Amino acid sequence: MSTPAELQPTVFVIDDDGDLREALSSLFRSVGLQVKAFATAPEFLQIKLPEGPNCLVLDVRLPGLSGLDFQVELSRAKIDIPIVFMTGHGDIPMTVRAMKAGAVEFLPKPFRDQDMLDAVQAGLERDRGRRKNAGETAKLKANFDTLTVREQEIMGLVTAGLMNKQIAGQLGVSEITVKVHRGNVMRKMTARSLAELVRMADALGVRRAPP
Amino acid sequence: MKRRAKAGGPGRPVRGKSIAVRRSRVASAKAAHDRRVPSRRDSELARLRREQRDISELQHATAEVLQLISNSSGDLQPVFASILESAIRLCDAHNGVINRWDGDALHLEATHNMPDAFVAVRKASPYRPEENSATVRLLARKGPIHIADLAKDPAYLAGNPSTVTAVELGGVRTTLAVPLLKDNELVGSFTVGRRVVRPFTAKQIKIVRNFAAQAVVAIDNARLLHQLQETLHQQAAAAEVLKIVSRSTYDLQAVLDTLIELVARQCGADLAAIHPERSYFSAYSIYGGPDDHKQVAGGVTFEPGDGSVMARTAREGRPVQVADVLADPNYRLHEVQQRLGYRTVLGVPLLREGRPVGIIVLMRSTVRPFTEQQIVLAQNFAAQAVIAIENTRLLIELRWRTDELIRSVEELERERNNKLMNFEAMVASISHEVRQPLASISSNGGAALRFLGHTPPNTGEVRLALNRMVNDSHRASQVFDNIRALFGKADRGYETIDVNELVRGVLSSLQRELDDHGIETGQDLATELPPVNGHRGQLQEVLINLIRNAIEAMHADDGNRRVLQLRTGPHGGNRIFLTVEDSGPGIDPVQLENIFDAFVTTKAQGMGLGLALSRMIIDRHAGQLSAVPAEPRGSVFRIVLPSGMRPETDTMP
Repeated sequence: MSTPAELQPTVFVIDDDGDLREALSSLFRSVGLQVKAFATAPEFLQIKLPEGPNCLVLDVRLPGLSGLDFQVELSRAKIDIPIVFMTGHGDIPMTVRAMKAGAVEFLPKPFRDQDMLDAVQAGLERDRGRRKNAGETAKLKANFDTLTVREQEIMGLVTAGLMNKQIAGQLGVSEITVKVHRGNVMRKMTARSLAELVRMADALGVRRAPP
Repeated sequence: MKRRAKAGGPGRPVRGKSIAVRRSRVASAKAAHDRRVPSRRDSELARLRREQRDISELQHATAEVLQLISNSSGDLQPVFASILESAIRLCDAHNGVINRWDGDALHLEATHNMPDAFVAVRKASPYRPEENSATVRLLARKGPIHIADLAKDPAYLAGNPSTVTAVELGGVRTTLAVPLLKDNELVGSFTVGRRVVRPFTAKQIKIVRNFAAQAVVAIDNARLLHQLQETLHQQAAAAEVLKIVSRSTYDLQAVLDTLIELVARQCGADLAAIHPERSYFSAYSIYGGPDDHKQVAGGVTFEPGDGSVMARTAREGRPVQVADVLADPNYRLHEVQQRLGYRTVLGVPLLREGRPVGIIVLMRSTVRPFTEQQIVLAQNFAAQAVIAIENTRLLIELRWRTDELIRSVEELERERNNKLMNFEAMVASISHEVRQPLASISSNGGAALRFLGHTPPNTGEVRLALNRMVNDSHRASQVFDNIRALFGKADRGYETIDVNELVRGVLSSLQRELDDHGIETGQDLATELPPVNGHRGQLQEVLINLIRNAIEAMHADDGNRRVLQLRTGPHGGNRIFLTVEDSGPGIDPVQLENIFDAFVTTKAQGMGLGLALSRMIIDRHAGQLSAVPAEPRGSVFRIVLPSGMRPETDTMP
């Protein structure tokens, strides 16, 4: 499931029904998950999200603001957290809208406890994946920042599929110079092959358009 | 003479002997003849030539007249002028007159060479058949009347006015009058005269008769042409009426207005009206007359009897004409007659299944009776009018019935929808209420099982979860208790309620919620508000629901002052009102009525009721729940309830 070194996952619950909040908290604790429950959306927004994988269990009907609107609000505020929706009277358009906006699951009340746990695990897994990707990209970016301006330029051209001779011609330098820069790029980016370097350039968005 | 007789007559060639002899004889005979009877032969020749010329002139004149007749577009004047002129010239007369006979008198149509004074007098006074007059003789004889000297005629000597006029103003002495006969009926007269006493010759009389015959043809042609035009006009009018009638308009007034104008014009009436039989239709149409014609005519009471043409027409059920109402001893509507100034009146009934449903009245401001043809025409119009009225009546009735049907169908549909909606709302509300505790039970159960599976089992958590499950179960059963309380044996729960007190109670229970949302509350509660009879719990729930709606409406509306205003007061004599007004963004006017249909529930806290359910409760209290936009913004929900004690006989369903 997770590596021992991983940070503690947290489940957030927003529902204005106190009894259900407590029941859900208890359910998540029983499988060893950390739980934070809130009666309203603004209360949730006041806390800082922890670094570990997170998942939000949200009631569609909230006082004042619907769960779906809150989902949009979170996305606008660039708060990236997987959402499991609960509804007392879910209808299909509502479900479709939530799922399209990236909801993990849409559970009608009353739901089976196992379905809720599965949905939350799926949400946490998704968050884990997102964080891993984000970490790798950050590492790549750090490596890319160690390149000189000329090396960054040559990385863009090489990954666009240009040959050394073409690059030399385009930049007005000798082919030898290009070879040296290229070697530095491979080393500093820890790329084992040109194909890997191309993937890195894609992830960083520095790959030039092919000629 | 003897010789001439022997020779075989004057100018005749002598037969026999040799050619030479004959030739010489002929020559000598001719010479002798020329010598002996020059004047006779010459005058004979001259006479022949003159006759020839006369005949050719006559032919020429006749051709000209025929040409004129065939070219005339019904206008007789140029034809008459030409005929007169030709006849006078060819008969060596001085002057002439053409008269038209209308069955009553001879009317001057055309004159030639007559003094202006004569024309003026004759135009003013048509020739009536007076004693001894030429007119009487003309009528009696139906043949030419030739008077050698009118000044010696017994009629003149007896002082007969028309004869005196002819002699003294017209200067006529010898006169020749030829009747214009059509199918042996007198249609006019053709008269030529001389200012001196010199009788006309037989040939001249023949010529005049010939021209008179042409005048008859011309008159007949003109009559036919006129008839044709009239028929065309009538057809055009009939077509127009049909067009109006078939337009199937609901506006009967417009149809009848057009119709009365047409009939008046076609029949040559100066004023006209369609009087309705009030029990059948009410549109009243008039044509012509003073500005207040309609008021004057509409204000008349037509009493049965002979006093009015209206009453006579209604009684007879067929057209009734009075040539001159002033000459009618039985006519009674003198005041109206003076106001409108009519003389000749024609009443034509509008007959529907033989019964008059109205009357067309045609009037003329001078004494001039309507002809048989005009009466028939008016009857045709009357028939059309009846069709138009009938069509319009049927259309209106049809539309009314259709509307009625649509209304009742809509009413049924609405009722059915309301019932369905209420039922759906109730079911949805119940299921929503029960889902919450069930979800809770399921979660707590799952938690308890898992805590039991821990090593060692976490009995503390298990106990807590099980306790919560028990509570959840109670809560679920509470939902059913609430439902039963609200909709079950509602009757039992009825009591006398002070609505003001109810408002204050609900507001205080919701005070924290209102404060949390930063809502100011205003109360404007009428003192001495009569109590209502109702179910306290249900009414409380409705009010809570309306206030929660208001809170939600204002919650979405940032930056504005949030004000909740509650008002109570009397509504009419035996009802009271309670309004809940918010300062939110308001309801889309299009949605105003739908909000009670659409299924809207608020989040459950206790018993969350939708608007549909609220309305159902108020309906059961014999009241109304409605929503209107507030000023300047927001919405007002208004409850109206019957006040006072509930009547014993009135049992709730």
